[in-house]
Amino acid sequence: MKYGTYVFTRPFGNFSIPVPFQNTILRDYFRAISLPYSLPEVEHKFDNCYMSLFTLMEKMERKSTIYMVSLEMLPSNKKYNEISKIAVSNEISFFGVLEKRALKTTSDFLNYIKIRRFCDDNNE
Amino acid sequence: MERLIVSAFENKGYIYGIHKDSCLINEIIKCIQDVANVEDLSLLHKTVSRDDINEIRILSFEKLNNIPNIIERLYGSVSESLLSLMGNDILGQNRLNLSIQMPNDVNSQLNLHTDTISGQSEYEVVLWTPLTRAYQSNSIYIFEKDLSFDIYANLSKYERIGNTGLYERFKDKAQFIEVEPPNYLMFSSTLLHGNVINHTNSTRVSFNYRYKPTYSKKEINVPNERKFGTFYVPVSLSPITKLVMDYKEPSNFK
Repeated sequence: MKYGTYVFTRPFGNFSIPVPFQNTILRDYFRAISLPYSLPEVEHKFDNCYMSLFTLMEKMERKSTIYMVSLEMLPSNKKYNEISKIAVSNEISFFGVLEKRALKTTSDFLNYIKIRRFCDDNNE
Repeated sequence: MERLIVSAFENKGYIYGIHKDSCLINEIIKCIQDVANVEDLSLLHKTVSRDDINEIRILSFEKLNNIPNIIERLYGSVSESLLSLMGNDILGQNRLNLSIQMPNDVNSQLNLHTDTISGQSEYEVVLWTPLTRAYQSNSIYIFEKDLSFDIYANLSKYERIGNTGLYERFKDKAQFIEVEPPNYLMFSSTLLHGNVINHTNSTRVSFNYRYKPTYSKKEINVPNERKFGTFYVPVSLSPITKLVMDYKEPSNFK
């Protein structure tokens, strides 16, 4: 799989976006960048559960991208480190439509989480 | 009959039934045949490419949901089972969903999941109706209640292997549903189910729809749109519910 999509049933960041709307956002984005849209992997509702993201990463081929409405869906705790290591070693990027930002290299992942944790700590 | 339905549901978490309104099922089939311009939906893959199938799906979805009184007729068609399972105060989904599973189409695969995992009510039942013969890998598979509950309760143990790995671990327990129109499958939203790549030479077309009791616990962990008034519409209301809908508590005391 070269392009994957990931949607989130729980609130993320300051957002709570129903899955059908996340689908619409991603479908629209895929249309804009002329990529074929495929059904998203839907994350489970349980706090700190990333089972569907692990499933999706397993399906992705090298040099592939997982698109999501916001990178804030990613965990910010130690599971983030685990997920980012798997992504980097398998050459899987994450792209947040809202942030217009890709996380591809170790340094991308580190920079992103540094700012995110700072913002979380300072209620930004 | 009611006792049979109840005992099958209590044992396995799912039941089979026959649509009372077989004309409705034929109308739905005809509607998709017209959109796709094919006589035999199981041969859809012969004339429609995988790239075009989503457009056919979306057009068919719109058309079948515009069949007059489809929600009411569908309820009438399966009401006997619903009455046995949840009484007569029932909400239904606002629309029917359509699935098309063409041979060897990797993009239509739905991993092992329960509907509750993404925030659907655990009080819900899913009505799954094939519009072509569903068998072997073109069908869905389901895990019976006891195994589903056991896996679900221990889901955190399986997080790292993901849904695909979880299916691989338990796939010998998967029951592939063999059913053809106008029969249906009705199963609890708490059961693990999914589909695999269709390795038959027959396209499977089916629709799915959800029912739950009017008085069921609200999902509070997931602030999603799956609520009465948005996702659910009334399909059968008891006299007492209708009365309460008109009743207002006084509130203008100063």
